[in-house]
Amino acid sequence: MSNYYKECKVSRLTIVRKHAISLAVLGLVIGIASSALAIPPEQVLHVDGPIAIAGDPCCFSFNETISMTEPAKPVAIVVTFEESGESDGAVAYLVGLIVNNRACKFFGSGFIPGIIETDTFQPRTFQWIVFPDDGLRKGRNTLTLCGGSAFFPATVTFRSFTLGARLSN
Amino acid sequence: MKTFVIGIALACVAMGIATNAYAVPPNEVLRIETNQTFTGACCSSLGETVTITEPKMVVPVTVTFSTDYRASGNGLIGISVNGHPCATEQNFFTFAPADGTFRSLNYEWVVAPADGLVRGNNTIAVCGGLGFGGGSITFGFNTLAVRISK
Repeated sequence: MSNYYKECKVSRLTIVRKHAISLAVLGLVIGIASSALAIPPEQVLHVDGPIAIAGDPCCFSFNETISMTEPAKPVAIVVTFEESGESDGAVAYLVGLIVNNRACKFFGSGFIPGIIETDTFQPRTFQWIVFPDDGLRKGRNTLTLCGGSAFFPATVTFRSFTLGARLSN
Repeated sequence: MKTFVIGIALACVAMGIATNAYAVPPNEVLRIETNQTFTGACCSSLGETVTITEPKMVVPVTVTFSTDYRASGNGLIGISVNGHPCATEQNFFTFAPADGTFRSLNYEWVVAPADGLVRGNNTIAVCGGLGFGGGSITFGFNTLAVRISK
């Protein structure tokens, strides 16, 4: 009787241990999956300024780049550009993106109007949507800020800016 | 061993569900690359719509609208959820002259289940219009996106 009780106990312990291991593996895998879904640092760029961007009328590269890794079947990317105010007066400026070294393009709103009063700062946020047809491909993709003055050679100075993107998975 | 295999299988299913949950169907994002002009006083549909599918237990969604614009006067912009009245809150736009340039605006709304979201398919439309006296607003390039809260 005593042996029988001992065998049952051992058997139950074995079952419990097996379940515990399975649950641990499950937790580990879910943990790894969650980590993979966190935003990698190369997808975000924050630059403290002031950052003066001078040049000809639109469009040229600002040489500020983030990168995204697309899955086998590329999906849309939602890009956000936030700038904390520009300090040059009366300059109408355009801001867009270069996707994988293609031409500068506007994937949504990108107009920074001329400012009548100098030394005033108006933060702005732009949201751009890049579809696979815009030149995204499997693997690493680069997104570079571009733009320029709307009408004539001019300089725009950002106090700071953040460029970020999220992949759709 | 059997339990271990079941555990692995469950993990794979969980990963698959997690990946799917983060996929953005094309109807959740919209990009317009032509100028569109709307006339009239607030509030009517401004012609831009996205849709999102809510799970059984309805959760909030975040809607972001970013556009270049010019307008003949001041007005309001909001969203209409599933055909409900236009909710403009305090989202003003101001006069922007038709001088060849645009101004830009960016709005974000958090829509709670109590705002009219339902299980299954939901439609979210941009709405608004001019203030007193009417007039017109022209949207330049713009994007509209909705995503479910996690």
